[in-house]
Amino acid sequence: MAGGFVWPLARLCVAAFSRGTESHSGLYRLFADSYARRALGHSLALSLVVALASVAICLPAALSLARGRFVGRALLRGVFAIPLALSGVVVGFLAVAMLGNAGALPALLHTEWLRGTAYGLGGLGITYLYFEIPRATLTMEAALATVEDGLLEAARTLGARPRQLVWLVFWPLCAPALRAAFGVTFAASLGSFGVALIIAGRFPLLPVELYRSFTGTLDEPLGAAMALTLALLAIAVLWVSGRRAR
Amino acid sequence: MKRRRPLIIFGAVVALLLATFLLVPLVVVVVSAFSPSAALGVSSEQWAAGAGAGRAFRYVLATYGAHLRTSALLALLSASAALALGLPAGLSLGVAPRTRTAGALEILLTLPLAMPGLTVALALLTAYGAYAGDLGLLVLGHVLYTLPFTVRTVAAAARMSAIASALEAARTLGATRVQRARYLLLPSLRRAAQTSLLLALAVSFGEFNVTFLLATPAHGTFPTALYLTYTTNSFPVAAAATTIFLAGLVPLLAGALWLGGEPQQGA
Amino acid sequence: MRASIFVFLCLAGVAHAADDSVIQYDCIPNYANWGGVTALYKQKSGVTVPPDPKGSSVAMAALEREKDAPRADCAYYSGAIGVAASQKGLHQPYKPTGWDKIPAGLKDKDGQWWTVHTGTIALVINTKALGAVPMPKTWDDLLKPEYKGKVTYDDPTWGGTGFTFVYGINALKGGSATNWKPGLEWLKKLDANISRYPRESIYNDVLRGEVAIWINADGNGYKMKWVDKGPVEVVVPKDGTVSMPLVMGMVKGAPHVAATKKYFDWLLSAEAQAEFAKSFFRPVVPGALPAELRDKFLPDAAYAGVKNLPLAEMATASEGLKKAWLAEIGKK
Repeated sequence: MAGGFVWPLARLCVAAFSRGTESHSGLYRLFADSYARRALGHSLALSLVVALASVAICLPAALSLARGRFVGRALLRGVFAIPLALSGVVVGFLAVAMLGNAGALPALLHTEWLRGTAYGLGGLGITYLYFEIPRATLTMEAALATVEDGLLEAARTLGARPRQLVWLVFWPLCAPALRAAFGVTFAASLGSFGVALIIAGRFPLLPVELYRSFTGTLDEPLGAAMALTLALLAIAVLWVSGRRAR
Repeated sequence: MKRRRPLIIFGAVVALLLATFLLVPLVVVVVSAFSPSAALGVSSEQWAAGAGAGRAFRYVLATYGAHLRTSALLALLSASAALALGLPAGLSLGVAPRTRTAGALEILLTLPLAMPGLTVALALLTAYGAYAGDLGLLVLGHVLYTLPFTVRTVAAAARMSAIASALEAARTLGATRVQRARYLLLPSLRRAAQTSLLLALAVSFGEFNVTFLLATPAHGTFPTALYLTYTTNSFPVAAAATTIFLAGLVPLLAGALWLGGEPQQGA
Repeated sequence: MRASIFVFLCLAGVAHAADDSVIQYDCIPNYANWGGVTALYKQKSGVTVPPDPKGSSVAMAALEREKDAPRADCAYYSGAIGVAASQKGLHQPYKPTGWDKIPAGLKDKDGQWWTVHTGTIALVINTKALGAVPMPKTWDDLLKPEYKGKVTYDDPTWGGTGFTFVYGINALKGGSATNWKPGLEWLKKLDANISRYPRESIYNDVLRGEVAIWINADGNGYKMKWVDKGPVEVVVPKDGTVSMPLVMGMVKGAPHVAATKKYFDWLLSAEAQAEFAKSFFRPVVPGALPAELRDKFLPDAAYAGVKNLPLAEMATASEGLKKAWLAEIGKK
């Protein structure tokens, strides 16, 4: 663990603070360069929107999977598990296959307005949702499954009104699950690389710019700074959302 | 209970809709791999005509067969390594009282999962760039991703079965070390080991970021081959490659779920 | 345990194919028929040359990073980038059998790099994706608003074809190796119509109609048209264009020197040259292009305005021009 993980991370930190052939450190240039800043901003904004949307969309599904007992529940959970193990490039390809300029949806539905959506901002959001929906649903399901079943019932028996039930009992019980799901989806979107590699088009996102700095322009300090920033942001969000969840 | 009924039904309908959203693209791709002539934006007649699906599959296996073999080997190596390391680690975490050190160790072990895959790949490249392309470095990268699954699954199983007190009881009753391992440890951890092995195989088989940055052409994995088909080959070839990929992945996932492991966050 | 044992058994039989191999950076199966060429070589010699998706500049960057412990034996580049790699001292000289058949100007005098085949920068057009809009005939046609969102050329900081186009359009618009203004000004105008600057091959996207107009090597378009039978046409702009030699270089410190030399010898053989020709890249060995393939190209008249670019000057300018393109266009 030390040699395989801690040491490489330490080297990455050193690289992020080094200058390479440029006059400033990679970390300094990441925040001084307007293009890199914009890529960071895009990544944060996209992750925020996608995380909020997936939590909102998946809450009913998670509640139902956690509390309900119905036929096909296990199968549904199985379907939700598949996208979690798909690499980002596969998800990106699915987006092109469905919503590209020559995609299946416009062809099958005979509509023009869907054509090429994959490459726009909306398409990017939908594609991120594809791998965030299972994450959000399964994270919330796991958290909701541990909620005591009798609490709502007890509150109702004690004479709580519906509004009180929602705000004083139901919401405090759900909130940790929502926060945990938000953290997990936000961190995953922030670091997602394969999807952006396939469809991000002219919309700079930090993981792709990181790859470009490291592989294309050989700017190791800048690439390391971007990688470090992404990791710190992801861990911070996960930590805050997870700690509050306890 | 009665009043919650509508909410559960509404939630189930939402879940069904979401599952449809997740499944349809996969179905479309698999179907078009078998019937390239379907109206799915296939503009290349070469792949649509006559020979049809078989030809695209044969092309993928001929061109990217080595990638498939590398991926299988890599999955096998890293999943076994993760199991060999994760079984004792998970057991000791599961048996040990929840001290601060144990907590810190567990966090450290799961940290690679919390980080973007690119960060881990880049860190490995910065530290061990001279070994880029070595199978060993790829295995290391994949073990970082598969170990957390093994450790967590095994630790959870150990805690659930209250194995510490059972071992203690067996010891005071005079069971030998071998007996304790054979009749207590093995049965209570078997399922966790199987589940985590299958999960580790699935995670390693589907991993893209680490291999994309660390692998040289000599050890390209199947996900990197998928990327090649997406960018340079025609749609039926890309669809056939994706179908082969799913055929490898889905049974592993189904097996892990069936054995009772909960689905985990992949790469 | 039964299940895990079963899985082990299923996978354990798969031994890794560690046979003789030559590692080539930038070996895209569907570009210049590298897939067919390497498959044929495997059949002939038993040596594997695995596919690799790097573009020219990325290949050069990887060689530079691995300078102290090279992983690759050879690399394939668009001319200028290969020459730049030689200038950086990343190659070792080797003159393959048949060296004299390569025309002057298309090889280094010491054998640091040599041309394997050539292409011409042209417009590869998916007519179905273009729809009712008329076919562009000249470079300036592409600036018209009706092509908005329909034009694409590869990121010049990534692949060599994109770089050759950027350098070439600058030369065609009156610029030089030190004056990039005319080209960059023209490209800024074109930027309004560009859908994206792809970093890896978009052959598949053009064939399927994801992209309407791809500024790329003519051979890729002919292959889409004749081999993949897509609705694709090649247009060589009437106001002239540039040719692109594609070169090979042996990596300094290559792990398999002897195998690479044999491979290089074979690449210049009539057999290999004819195999490249199947994807409509012009063999560097004169007379190696079979007549029936020759007839599938546009007539010679269409190629009358093709200019050759000075590779050495281009190579020297490459770093600066790539940076200028990024600053003025790529990162806008």
